[in-house]
Amino acid sequence: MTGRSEALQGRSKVVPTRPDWAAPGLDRPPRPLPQVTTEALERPGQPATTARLDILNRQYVGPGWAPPWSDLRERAACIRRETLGDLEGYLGQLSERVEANGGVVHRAGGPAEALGVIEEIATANGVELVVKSKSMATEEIHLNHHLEAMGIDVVETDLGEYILQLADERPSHIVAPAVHRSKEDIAALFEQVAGGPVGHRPEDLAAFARQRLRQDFHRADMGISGVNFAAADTGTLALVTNEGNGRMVTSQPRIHVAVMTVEKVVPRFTDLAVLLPLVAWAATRVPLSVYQTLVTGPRRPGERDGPDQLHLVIVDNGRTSLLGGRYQEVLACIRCGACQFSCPVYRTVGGHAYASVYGGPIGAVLTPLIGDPEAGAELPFLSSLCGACADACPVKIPLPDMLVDLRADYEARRPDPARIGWAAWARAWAWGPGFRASSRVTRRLWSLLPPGARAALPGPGRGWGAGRSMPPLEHAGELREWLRTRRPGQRPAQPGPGPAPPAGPEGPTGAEQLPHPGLDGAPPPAGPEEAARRLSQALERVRATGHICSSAEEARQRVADLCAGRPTAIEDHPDLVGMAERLPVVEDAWEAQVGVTGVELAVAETGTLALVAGPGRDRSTSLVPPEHVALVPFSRLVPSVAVAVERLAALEPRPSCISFVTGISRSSDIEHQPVYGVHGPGKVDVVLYPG
Amino acid sequence: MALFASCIADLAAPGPARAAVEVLEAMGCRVSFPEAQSCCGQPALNSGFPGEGRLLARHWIETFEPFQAVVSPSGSCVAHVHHQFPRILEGPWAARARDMAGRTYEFSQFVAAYGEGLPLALDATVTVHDSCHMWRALGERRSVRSVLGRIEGLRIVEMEDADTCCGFGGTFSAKFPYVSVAMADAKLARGQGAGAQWMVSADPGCLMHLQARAAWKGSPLQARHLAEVVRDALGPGGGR
Ligand code: SF4
Repeated sequence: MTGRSEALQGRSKVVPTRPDWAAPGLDRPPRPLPQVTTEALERPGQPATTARLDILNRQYVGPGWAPPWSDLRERAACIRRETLGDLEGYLGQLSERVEANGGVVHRAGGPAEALGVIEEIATANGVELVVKSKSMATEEIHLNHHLEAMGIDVVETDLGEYILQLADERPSHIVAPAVHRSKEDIAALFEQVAGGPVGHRPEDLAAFARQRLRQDFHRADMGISGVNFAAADTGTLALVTNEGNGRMVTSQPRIHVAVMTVEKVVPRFTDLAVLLPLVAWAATRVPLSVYQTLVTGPRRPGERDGPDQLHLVIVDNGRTSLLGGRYQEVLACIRCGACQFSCPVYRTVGGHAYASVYGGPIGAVLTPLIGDPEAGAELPFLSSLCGACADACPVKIPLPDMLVDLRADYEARRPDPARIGWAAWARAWAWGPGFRASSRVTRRLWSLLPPGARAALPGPGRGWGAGRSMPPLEHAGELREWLRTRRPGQRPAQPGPGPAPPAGPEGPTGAEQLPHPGLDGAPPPAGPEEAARRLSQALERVRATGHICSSAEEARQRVADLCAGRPTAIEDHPDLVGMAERLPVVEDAWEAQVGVTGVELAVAETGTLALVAGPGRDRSTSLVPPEHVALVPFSRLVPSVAVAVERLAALEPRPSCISFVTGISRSSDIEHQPVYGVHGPGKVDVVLYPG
Repeated sequence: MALFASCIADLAAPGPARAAVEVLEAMGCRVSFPEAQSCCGQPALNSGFPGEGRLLARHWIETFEPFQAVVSPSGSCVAHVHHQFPRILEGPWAARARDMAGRTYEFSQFVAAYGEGLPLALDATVTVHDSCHMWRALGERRSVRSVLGRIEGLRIVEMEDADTCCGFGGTFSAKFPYVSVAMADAKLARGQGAGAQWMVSADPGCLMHLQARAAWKGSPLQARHLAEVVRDALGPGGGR
């Protein structure tokens, strides 16, 4: 069945080693969660996973929120709540715009409906090979399994997801899906499919995957992607990736199916200026991920690549029923995964132990609220309520309070015998003499019990006694005796003014009004030369190279030198007029060693290039060849992402595809060590000149 | 001023509350102990029984309302009063809860603000466990170190992940005992790695859990409440 996909060759030779609760498509925990989590502590490799997650937490979450990011966080919190205030309205507007742009919109209530829609598209178009980029929505509806059952080859193309597909596992983290796997694990897995040795360094492993996936991108009939944000006012779908697979999936196959859950919509295209940087910062403390693909409709007449059909599948799966209720805010989530890194329970047991599509704090809240409420019923208890997730969350979702409220919902749903105990306990303790009596009884009983029997009592003591000495309840009442004997008379004292009460939790503060801060906190560059210098510095930080030339002619010569006589694909861009004559041009980007492009804009603060698709301006030129050279006159420089997004929002007609490129293709899916040049170019040169 | 000892102090760990009284008296405070006090209700709320949590919250407010200030050696309980009381109570009770939150202080906050003149000296090497509810729900991130910093001869060695949860989590510690204990082990290992004799915190819940685990494993590290450390550091003319 895996005849058509090259990447999946040898998959049947893999012997899965995962526990049953790490399987894809798991509907509910196979055993009660206390047991599953205990098994998770014993899973081989778990201590190494915990150590890795601890490092990521220190690196990504530890620094907390400081300007300008704290301001962006306030704005994002507002934008997301504004969205939820009229979700149906924004979805309606989005659907209208997407259709006007030439896309087809499908609304699906639940997973079955969503699967039916995608099945129909695949069947109608005779699809045999599908390439997918990372999408939690498709995990939620268990799409891969369904398509495979139809006889379609489905290939996960994100490096982490590809590893997991071969290993037959679910992602254990939203943005770092294979964080629980060591490079030795991955090498052993790749050797099974390859039927021979592969290198063990992360670079070798990434190269192995790249090579296997490359032909599949080229040959697939259909690309399936998720959606990070969907702008209602323009019908634009924004996708964030670092490897470049998201760009491949949305540009190479003739059909693009984007699957989103309802809450991914945002009111305005310009909101992306806040959300795209913030989601990258929250997840990995970089100002922008490498690639943002902004899709506004399928390919237009005259364009040589891009999909002929664009389908947007909007899945509800129980979410709209949360609107107006006390859990509405959970839909503000932008799926950054920061709450997972921040959670000490998650780091201790790993994401699979939650036995749910979504693990960690967001999973413990979301899972019982969507789909089958019984499947994730125990999850809200799998938290020490330490509150780290609320601090980490870039949109300020009060996850710990929701966990507390969900626990109440859980207890209210079932006739728990403990309810009677809690009621009696509360009544006794809400009455002074009752509390004192219970304290006396506790002391008496505890002193009568031999120490060995204390941990064997029914109730919470049994859990406590597993690995801890029992609390010294023989001390019950001692405090009051001590107070009485030494100080019989008591009067209220007159304290001075106390310290200021600590501030309560902050709420959104109407931050739409705030000016958008620059991402580097620096004032805008004074002139074009300074902007070019800043751009070059920013490029260096993301492993690309800026070349500042003193004239247009010098710049053109530099571009030709960088191409060095190798087969070159070049786009038809006003800044490149006459350039093609100086280069050994090939028509097909797949045959080129270098892709030469102009840009629409270049952002000084982040080193980001904004490329737009159009007739003669292919999506592939800056993506498919292993090297990318961009020629940029100073006049195309803008200081900030905010200004860039604003300018792009004003483009008429709106391009069918805008790509933001910040540096070279990168993956951190193997033990979180960065490797470069995964699916997109591994070398990016930006040639700048006054003009 | 009134002392809210917490139910853990009343039932199992009287030491920190006693020490808190001694330190507050050394500062010149007259400490009252309302006999009707019991529990803030956090265990009930966090176990999924908000009705019971509300009952105890109202009882707590009634007990402490006559006092101008309330001080407690339990950071988690104070955070519960500040954050959860106004959230779970309704109508006039919510207003009374907000009023109480305005005059309820955690012990280290109070000592940091008003214990400036205390003569303190103690020869010890300690590390600080920043307990979650104080650190996050209460937003108090300085007072424990600032009080410890006033003790002559005391060395603070910082451990890695000082603000990571110790794994207590109230009923979590009994529902998921093995996970809870694994988290305590990580915490204790970091304290030991830092070279501390004592792990100091301002939360009796965390301390009970950490001490119980340390005792079970025979770990040389002791978990101690800030109030006890400060009491031990009081000069001879101090609180005795
Ligand atoms: S809940 Fe917040 S922190 Fe967690 S994934 Fe969603 S946005 Fe990120």
